Amino acid sequence: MSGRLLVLTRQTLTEQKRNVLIWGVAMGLLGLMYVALYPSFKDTLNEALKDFPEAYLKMLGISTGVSDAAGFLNMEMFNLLAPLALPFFTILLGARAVAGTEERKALDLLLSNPVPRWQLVVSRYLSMAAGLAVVLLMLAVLTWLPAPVMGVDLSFWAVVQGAANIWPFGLFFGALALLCSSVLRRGAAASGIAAGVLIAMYVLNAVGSAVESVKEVRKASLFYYYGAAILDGIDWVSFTVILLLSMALTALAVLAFNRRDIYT
Amino acid sequence: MDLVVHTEDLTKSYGSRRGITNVNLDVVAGEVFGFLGPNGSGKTTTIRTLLDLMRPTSGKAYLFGLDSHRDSVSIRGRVGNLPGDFNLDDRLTGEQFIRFFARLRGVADLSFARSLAERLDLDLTPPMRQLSRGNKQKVGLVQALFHRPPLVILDEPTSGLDPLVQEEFHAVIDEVRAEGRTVFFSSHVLSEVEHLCDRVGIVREGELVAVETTESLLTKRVRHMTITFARPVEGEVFAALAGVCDVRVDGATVSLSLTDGLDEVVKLAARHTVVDMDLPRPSLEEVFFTYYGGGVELGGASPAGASPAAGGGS
Repeated sequence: MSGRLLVLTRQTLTEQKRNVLIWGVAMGLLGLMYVALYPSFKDTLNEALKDFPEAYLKMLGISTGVSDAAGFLNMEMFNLLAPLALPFFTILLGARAVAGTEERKALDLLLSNPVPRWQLVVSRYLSMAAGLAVVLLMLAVLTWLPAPVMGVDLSFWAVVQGAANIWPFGLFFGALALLCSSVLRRGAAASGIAAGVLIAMYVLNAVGSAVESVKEVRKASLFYYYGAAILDGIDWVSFTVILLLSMALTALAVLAFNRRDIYT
Repeated sequence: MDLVVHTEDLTKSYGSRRGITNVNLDVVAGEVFGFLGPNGSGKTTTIRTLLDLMRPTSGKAYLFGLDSHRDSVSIRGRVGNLPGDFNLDDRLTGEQFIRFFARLRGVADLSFARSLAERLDLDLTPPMRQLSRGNKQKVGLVQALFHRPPLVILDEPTSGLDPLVQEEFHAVIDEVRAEGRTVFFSSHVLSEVEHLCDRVGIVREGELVAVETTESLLTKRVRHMTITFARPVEGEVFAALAGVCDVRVDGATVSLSLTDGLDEVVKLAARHTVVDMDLPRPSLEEVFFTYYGGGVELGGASPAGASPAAGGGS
């Protein structure tokens, strides 16, 4: 890796250290709470789920009911909360990456150094990828931590796979925000667009899962390819394709940023 | 004669808004070149186009003989730039910030950065959010200078600095010149330009209207003088002097404009009892008005060069 790219990436990582810590701890504590509480309401939960409409259970990805802790975590955390919340971590970083820096009037100074513009964009992507990886690791470790203590049967490896599966997924939306951030000059617009796409895809998938006649629309949603890695293991084809898509979005961001004027 | 900066009909327009038009500018190696003009006249636009932060609408710019766009990275490796308006990451300290830029430039030795900070009376330990505007400006100056670039570009370098620090800054610039390096800076403070610059380019409404040596700018300008005597005196004797015009007498006070012959005026005045004498430095505005006619929007002019985004002029 080129020296300057490394310096830029490390600097960005340093600047986002606090964000990483906050997200890692917050999401990790949620996971910890779910696992710690699992023994006390696993029985009542399955009772309650019997009364839920089937379409709703399909939407939650648990049409077969919740048989173990992994299934419970999948329903609460890895199929719902994490894929909806964690993209916001990367989206905010992506939006800040170019447009946000520009709005803060810090871009002129940075690009007065002998730094090619592509290195700035790529370093933002790399630090986002590294930051998300750390958040997910914290999530996995904190989530699994109470299992041996509370006597919950939960494989660490399964939790790691569930968390790792979010990595390309989160990077996709982060890179989308990075692209918007490179084209537009407003960080808020960049994060708004990326968040809008995320929500739209979630809704599309939920509707497609619940309503048989429009199930094909799910294919337009990234959630469709996301799967349930904590139960079934990682689908490496989806994993790789989504990761490649995030890289393609970053490449587009480089092209867009290279062409435009910087207004500081 | 080595040209450090050379532009050919450099033009940048923002839609319907004014940018710069056909700027042909040469800055010679080793000189201190002052870029003068009111706010919004295009100084910042020119600088930002030279640094490839903006792309020219037409025309070309070369720095060190290299194409401003194609060879931008290698150009920026040889340029220290202080933007007119900038911010730094709030949580970084001055020290961390300079270290970051030093790593980007592959500079290992920070002793010159520290000595600059000391000379400018800058503490590098507090985080940026605690720094006053003047201290931020000092950090900006240090980052532009610490790597001893062959070309230093400074956009309004002394804004926000107190007079003592300004003086030290002037000494630093004199040293840069003594080392044979080149300085290109924009300003609207005439006294500063007069003190530092070998040559001056004057930009007005996006056009480079004159490039002169500082010497000729000084001799061409008109100064206004007011002398108050103990008793009323004859104004006509002053009007008779060469280089004096616009003599007005109001009781014991004589006001006049002069382009030359200050010595004669003072000697003539000294024949009477002088109570007060006022010879203010002409502002840049006056130089503009005097030599380039009226119609110059000053002060509150729209900052077409500084911040086109504010007006949505993309």
